[in-house]
Amino acid sequence: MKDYELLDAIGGIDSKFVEKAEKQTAHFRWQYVAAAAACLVLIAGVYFAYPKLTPKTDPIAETEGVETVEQTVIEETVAENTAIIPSVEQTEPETEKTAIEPDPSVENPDIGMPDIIDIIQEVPDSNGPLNQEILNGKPMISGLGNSKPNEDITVDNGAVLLSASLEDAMEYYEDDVYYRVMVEFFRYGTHIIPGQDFLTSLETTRLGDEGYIVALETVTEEVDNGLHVTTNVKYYFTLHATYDQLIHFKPASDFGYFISLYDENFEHSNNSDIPTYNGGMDVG
Amino acid sequence: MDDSKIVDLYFSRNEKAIAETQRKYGSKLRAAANRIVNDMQSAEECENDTYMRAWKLIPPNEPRTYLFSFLGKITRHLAIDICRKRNSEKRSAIFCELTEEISECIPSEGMAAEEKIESSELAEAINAFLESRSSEQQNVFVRRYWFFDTVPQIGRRYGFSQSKVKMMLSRMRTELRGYLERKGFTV
Repeated sequence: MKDYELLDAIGGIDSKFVEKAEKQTAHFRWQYVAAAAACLVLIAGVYFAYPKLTPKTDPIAETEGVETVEQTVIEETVAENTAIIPSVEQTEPETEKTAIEPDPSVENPDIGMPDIIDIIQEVPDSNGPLNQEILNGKPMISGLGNSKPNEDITVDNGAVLLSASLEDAMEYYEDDVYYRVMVEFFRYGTHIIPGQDFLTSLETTRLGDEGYIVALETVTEEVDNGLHVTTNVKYYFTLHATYDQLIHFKPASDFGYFISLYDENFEHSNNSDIPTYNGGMDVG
Repeated sequence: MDDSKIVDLYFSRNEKAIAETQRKYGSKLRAAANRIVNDMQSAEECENDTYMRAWKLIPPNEPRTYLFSFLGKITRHLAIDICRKRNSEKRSAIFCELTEEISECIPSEGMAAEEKIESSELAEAINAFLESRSSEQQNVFVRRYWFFDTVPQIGRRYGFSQSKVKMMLSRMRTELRGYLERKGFTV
């Protein structure tokens, strides 16, 4: 066999191979076009969906949302009948602070309470009266100056109990002031330590949704019994609320609530140095 | 005009058949011839001779469904003949290249050299070989050894890289050689 014989023989192959080879060209790569189109659709989808997926950075919404700030109040142990002057140290996480820091350029009359960070930062020095906290033109009270530590109390689920001092204050000042109060949670008559279970977290979230500003405060109490000093740590939920918010407080069915003024929870005397709103101020 | 009507013109001995054939396939046939002889004047001679041969061969042949391949086969044969008549210095590079490539397919041992191999039997064997190949392989093989396309031309036509085309051709030559050996086609 010679090479030309083979070449000639190839010339005699079936016409169908020749016709097919002549007609067929490179397949149009529809799969590439389809892949490119799918990518474009995906990109467009992400582009348009992104604003919906991203939380709004509306400072108003942030202010009205759940804000839990851990605050450490170190009480100085003093002799009996000596005023207890809380000094406040902020230990809130950096992220929390960033998240709820208000935009001072935004003014909104609908904001019930200013941001708690501002409040804490505005806590005056220990010798000044607490009524220096002027919020939206109103002072905020945390005590009456003659509050007594509360006795052991239990509250049934779904019930709200206001302390006598708080009721007195609300009767006297009504809507002329803001109220810094402490909230103790109960479930089936048992006091719930804040942060003990996730339900309290859910409840604080609910309260935040209701428009309250909720803070978790850690109070460290050093007690010197003469032999040694012991440290007690207590946790409190603090609410910053308006008169109406306290009047119309809506309890969850899973919890009982005892709401008292801030200073009721600390051992103190009627010493006039205590930083409370003592009613002597013209709040009008 | 479709191929069947052109064939009808040949059958009716209407000279318009050649004009229609030239209008439809003239450029393709000329290009095919030019790929082999690498000379436009010779390619035009091949084209014109193709019309004359077709006029003589239709009828009795009736290539209604394969007119292009029928004409192309004539053109190819004429162009190869021209190349063979030339001395080795004047042969086109593609013809020499393809002749060398195709020689790889020739079985090396066996029958005596003088034993005549029927071209039609060999064509049937190649047909059977191509039937066993994929469509892509068939096309690449035919474009290379029937149409005398270059490797880059085949690559562009089917969207393959040159290396892929070369690899496909190399494997098919080896497989064709083995296939012909098994079928008893030897030198």
